[in-house]
Amino acid sequence: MLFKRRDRREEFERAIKGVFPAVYSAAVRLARNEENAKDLTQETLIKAYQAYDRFDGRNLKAWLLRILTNTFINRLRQEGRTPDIASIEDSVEAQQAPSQEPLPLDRVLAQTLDHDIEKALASLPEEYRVAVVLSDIEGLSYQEIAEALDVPVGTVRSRLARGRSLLRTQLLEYAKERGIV
Amino acid sequence: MKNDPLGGDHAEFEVLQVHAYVDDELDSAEVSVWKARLESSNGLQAHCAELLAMKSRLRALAEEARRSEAVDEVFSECMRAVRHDDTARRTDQFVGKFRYALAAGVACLVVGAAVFNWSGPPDVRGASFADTLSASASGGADVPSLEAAWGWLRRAFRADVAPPPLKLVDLRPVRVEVLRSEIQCGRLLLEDRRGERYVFVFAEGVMPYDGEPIRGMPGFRCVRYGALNVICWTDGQYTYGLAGPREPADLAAMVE
Repeated sequence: MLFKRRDRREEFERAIKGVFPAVYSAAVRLARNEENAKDLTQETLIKAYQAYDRFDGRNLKAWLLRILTNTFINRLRQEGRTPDIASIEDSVEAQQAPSQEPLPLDRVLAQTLDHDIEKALASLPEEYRVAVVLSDIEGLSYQEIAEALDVPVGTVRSRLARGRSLLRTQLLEYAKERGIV
Repeated sequence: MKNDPLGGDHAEFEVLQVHAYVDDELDSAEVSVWKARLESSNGLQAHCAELLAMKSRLRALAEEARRSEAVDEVFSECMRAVRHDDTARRTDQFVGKFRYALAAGVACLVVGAAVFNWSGPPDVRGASFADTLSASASGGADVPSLEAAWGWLRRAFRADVAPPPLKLVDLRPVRVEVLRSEIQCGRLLLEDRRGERYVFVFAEGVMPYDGEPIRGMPGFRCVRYGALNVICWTDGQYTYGLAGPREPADLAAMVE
């Protein structure tokens, strides 16, 4: 039938529109700048459209975030920037200095600028940043993140805990620099 | 992770369980255990509160960014890229497979372009195929609107035909005709406010067409006939042409 292809594309466009802000927002935080995020989102949607017939119709946002994450990781690999997990884990251990009492992060957060939070998030190693973005910003479950990253749920839990720990350390660092604590 | 923000020597598993508790990822039995532990530990309570505060701040930050108008612009850009990629991909596939069979379809676009001479302003040069066209056309109908034109085509093709990918800025439909009903090929004559004529041709099938690329409009090609320009593009399994006395980029701007 004439224009059938266009109908399919319009259906895709309608479906995507609702979850697009979440996908783009995740892309900005993964790619760390808007220009790269646009490219990443564009490539994600092109791949999603090509595979749309195979989408099972259950959770479009999780499906798109999975494609986004895979695309992001593939790009890193192509650039030869696969993160060295062992060294990252060492650095995490090093940064987790024992604290005698909990630092007042909730007070810090209340006074921290959005810019500093974005900066702290951007400073996380890719594998941890992806986990934090997908969980804390996009609200995916551990299982959904595990599927998106093609790793066991245990790995997701571990990356999430370490990513948050690093984020916390970084935020407290900024807070000290600004005299908040 | 031997040392954690709680200050005690918690096993890694326990640290992960705190995060899972905050993320609502524990089953009901585990939740009961952690609730009891929370009640008896100020440090644990503080740590959970921190995690929740951090999650909440991150979520709020993202929500704010999502309301930005720039997101709509990026969405439009991305969908344009999807359309162009789809067009290019399908054109490659179909032209590669059926180029000999489809070559005959080129005539439709040539006819569509040439008909402009028949109905267009007298200063337009180029070979005329008006006689051939008149013989092959259905006779058509005068139409006041795009909806009326497409209603007529639906009846002519006996198919549920969607509207054409045209933005009728300063243009009004004049006449619609079927050129070849067996492949759903037809044309729409349009007129602008100055009385200049345009021809929109559509044909089922992906047809190879020559021409120069149009800057900033991947997937589009332009053929020039004197003062007349014809832009051609493929969308899915269909090919379109738009002819008129305008620059190719202006013609392309009339296309969705």
